[in-house]
Amino acid sequence: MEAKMDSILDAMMQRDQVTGVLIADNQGLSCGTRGMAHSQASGLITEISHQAAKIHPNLDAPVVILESENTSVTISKYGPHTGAIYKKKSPSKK
Amino acid sequence: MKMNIFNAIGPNLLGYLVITEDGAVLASSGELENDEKTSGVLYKLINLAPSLDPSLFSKNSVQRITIAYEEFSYVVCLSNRKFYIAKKKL
Repeated sequence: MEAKMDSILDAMMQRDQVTGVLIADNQGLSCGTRGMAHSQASGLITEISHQAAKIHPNLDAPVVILESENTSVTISKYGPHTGAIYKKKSPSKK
Repeated sequence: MKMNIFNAIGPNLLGYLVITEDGAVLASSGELENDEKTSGVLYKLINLAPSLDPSLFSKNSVQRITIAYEEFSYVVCLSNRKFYIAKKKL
């Protein structure tokens, strides 16, 4: 299980413009991080996903994208896990 | 009263909300008209985002928050100390 999680995290880090990856469990505990994602952020990532799901509790949990000038963080829930992908924005998309 | 600023979204706009930095609703329309529940949840979400990583997202550096469901999405932008929230059909 842990080896599989590590391979998913490593595979995500290989993708273009990805600077960090985090996976948290349903209670907000970190299952693994890579790059600039800090394990301390796991609780907040889970809470943001839970809050967003409260808008429409009958629908599947939404994907939340937080964007600043240079970075975007995409948060998605899948089963009992919540994942966050930190990406550097490409200059052309500014 | 329809706010001109949201007209640019065109026919995909399902509704909008304008809320102040302290959570008061200034304007609402369409599917979000008088929708206190959604504005309350979105306001909590807006306040959570800067805590994620202060080095990445300082208080005023979050430019846009998108909450994407399968068939529609909410887009939140901060401008002039107000939060502009649009509900769009995808």
